Amino acid sequence: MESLLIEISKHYTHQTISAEHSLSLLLDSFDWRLYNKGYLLRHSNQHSELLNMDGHLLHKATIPQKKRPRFIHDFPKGKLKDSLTSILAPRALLERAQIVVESCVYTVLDQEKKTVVRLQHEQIFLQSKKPLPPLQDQLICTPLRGYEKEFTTITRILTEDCGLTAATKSENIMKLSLEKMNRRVKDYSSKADLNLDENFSGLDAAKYILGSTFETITRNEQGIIDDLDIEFLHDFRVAVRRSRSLLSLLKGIFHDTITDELKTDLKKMGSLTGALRDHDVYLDKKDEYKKMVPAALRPGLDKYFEDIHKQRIDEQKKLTQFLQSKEYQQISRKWQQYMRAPQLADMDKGNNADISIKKLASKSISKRYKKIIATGQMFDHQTEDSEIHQMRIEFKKLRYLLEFFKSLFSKNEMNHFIQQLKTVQNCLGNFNDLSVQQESLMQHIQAMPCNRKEHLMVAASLGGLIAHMSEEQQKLRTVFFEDFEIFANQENQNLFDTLIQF
Amino acid sequence: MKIIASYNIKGGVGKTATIVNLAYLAAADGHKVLLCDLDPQGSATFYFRIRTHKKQTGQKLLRGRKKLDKFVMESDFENLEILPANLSYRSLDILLNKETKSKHILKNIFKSYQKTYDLILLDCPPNITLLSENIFYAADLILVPIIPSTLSIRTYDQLLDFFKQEKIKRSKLIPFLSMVEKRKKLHTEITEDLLNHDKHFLRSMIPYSANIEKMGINRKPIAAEIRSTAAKQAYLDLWQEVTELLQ
Ligand SMILES: Nc1ncnc2c1ncn2[C@@H]1O[C@H](COP(=O)(O)OP(=O)(O)OP(=O)(O)O)[C@@H](O)[C@H]1O
Ligand SMILES: [Mg+2]
Repeated sequence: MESLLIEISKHYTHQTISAEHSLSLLLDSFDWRLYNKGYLLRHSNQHSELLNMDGHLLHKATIPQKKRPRFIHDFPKGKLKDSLTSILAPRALLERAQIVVESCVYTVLDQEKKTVVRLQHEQIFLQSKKPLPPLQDQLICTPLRGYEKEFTTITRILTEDCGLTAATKSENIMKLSLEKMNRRVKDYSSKADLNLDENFSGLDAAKYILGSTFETITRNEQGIIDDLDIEFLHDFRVAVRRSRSLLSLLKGIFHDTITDELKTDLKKMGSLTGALRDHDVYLDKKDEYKKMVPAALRPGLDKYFEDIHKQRIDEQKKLTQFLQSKEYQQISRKWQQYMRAPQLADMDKGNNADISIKKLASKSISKRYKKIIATGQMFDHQTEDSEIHQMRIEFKKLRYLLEFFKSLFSKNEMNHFIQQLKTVQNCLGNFNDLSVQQESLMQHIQAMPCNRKEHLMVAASLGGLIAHMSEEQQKLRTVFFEDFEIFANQENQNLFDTLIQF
Repeated sequence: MKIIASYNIKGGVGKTATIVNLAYLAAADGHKVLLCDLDPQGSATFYFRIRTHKKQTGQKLLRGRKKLDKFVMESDFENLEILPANLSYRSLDILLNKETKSKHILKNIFKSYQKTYDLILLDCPPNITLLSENIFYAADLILVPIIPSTLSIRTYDQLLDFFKQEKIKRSKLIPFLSMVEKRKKLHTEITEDLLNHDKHFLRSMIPYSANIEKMGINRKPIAAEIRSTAAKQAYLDLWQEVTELLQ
């Protein structure tokens, strides 16, 4: 810049108007929800801006507090918040990159000391421990109306005498910095894409899939310990569940001793995380619950949520201790290494280890599917709730199977089929959640000492909730019957048969 | 779009000082402003450090927007553009006289700027001429700076008579006190008298100030200076009152 100004000062005088230095943060969730949807969220000095990938400003907001926003509720009401809510909830925002912008404005003056051209020198750096060259270093030259001749002269000095090149397309600097900072943007997704090779044996496939679920497990540990948001634990638990399902759905891949040991470990990981997850779910539903009961019962609910909140803190501490314990560290690292090992000892293999995965998967999927259709067709309005619960478990198994192995089958049809299945499964999931919640509210009531008025209020509130939930649950039965009918229609059955052939 | 002129039959009363500051303040308020210098002396042009183009002539002014656009200059301030004046404008009256409907030429020229600017401000030369008559018809408001002295008030009365005679809307004329010196007994007496008895006068007035005089050296509106002065405040108040009149 110095040398440019010297060159310019042979013809004109110049003046430094301002020199600014600003730090912006790029925020996104652990699983890149904004980036995946084509958004960038920039924050600096209490101002947040939502940009698209071309760097265009979509919405902005001023944050009332000094601290950078962490959750959706940190944003003021408005378009920015609305856009974020549907994409981000309930995830926390993390700092994915820090960007420093240094900007100097100069004016070039004629003999009357009148400004004829404005120059803005802008340098954008990625904040890092060792100094990096700027991501972008540009001189913006703005003409003033009526001074076109001077503008031409100055741009000529800049290009010919100083060897600058005129900018062509401007890159979106925010996107660029994200990608530089995190060499692998989108380095985490709760469901990693599983690309199985048709020629994989059962063992190859199982090791590949479990390798991936264990990676998900370990990647979420720190977020749970730091208590960043509730999705870390959720993803952790889903990965544990998927691992367990795989073992029971594909039998005989590993030797029984291995399978049993792994199942025991997974079970432990599942049960030690259950309580915290339950609390998370309740607290997340706080507003929803409050809408379910009349206003008079709401203070009772607040008290209930206070209790849950306290319990949650204890559970979170306990879980942190477990995750940091030697015992747990050994378990998770051991299995991750095991699944990554190129070769397993023959004694570790089960009977089905060397059978083609496509064959094993087709068989298993078919079996589940046929069972679901047969059972479902016998359902009528007298069907017990417990039978519907059983159905949910079957659906879940089928869903896991399809997700594990979809890369082995025709992609479009598979996705269509999974979509259909999701609809029914969601309904079943809600049905089940309502049962579980009613039961746990009942337990809470029973565990409460009943000698204080305060507790009576809580009990009344929870009673109101239970009544509401039970009503909702009955409605869901009908919805399920309808959804199932579509899922099991002949067209879908035919589609399934062409898809899964063996 | 509204047109505001700064005018007085009398010279040296602060017409230019006023319009230059109002132009800056209006632009700073976010209005898109064209300051049109109509005085061959080009003082407003000078205050904004603009050099005029030799090819810009009175003839071209009267031809309207198509010929004028290329002479419009961007000032150093956001939203503020200047149409400079030069000595050739001294023959404007002769040129106007040759036109038909000679009193409405300016009004028609400015019509074509309707969509481009929110405000056009005019710095006018003194005396009653055909050019000033054009200004009277074109402007929505005519600010008349008046020094609290007998002679100055006399010219204001002359102006009122002229408006009556020509049947131009009296309400366009907005007198206000300029270059008021508190220490002069006569100034305070006349000021009090005028403000009490003539309801047309604006409440704000511009004091006599060395800082305003220095604008000729600094070549920058006093209102654009960062430090606050009584003079700057006076122009701010004046602009506030004018804004209210515009609504
Ligand atoms: N309020 C003020 N206090 C002190 N000096 C002033 C003030 N207003 C204007 N002046 C000075 O008085 C002189 C005349 O002012 P200005 O040019 O604004 O008047 P004008 O009415 O436009 O004059 P002209 O009729 O020549 O165009 C200038 O030197 C100016 O700096
Ligand atoms: Mg003047």
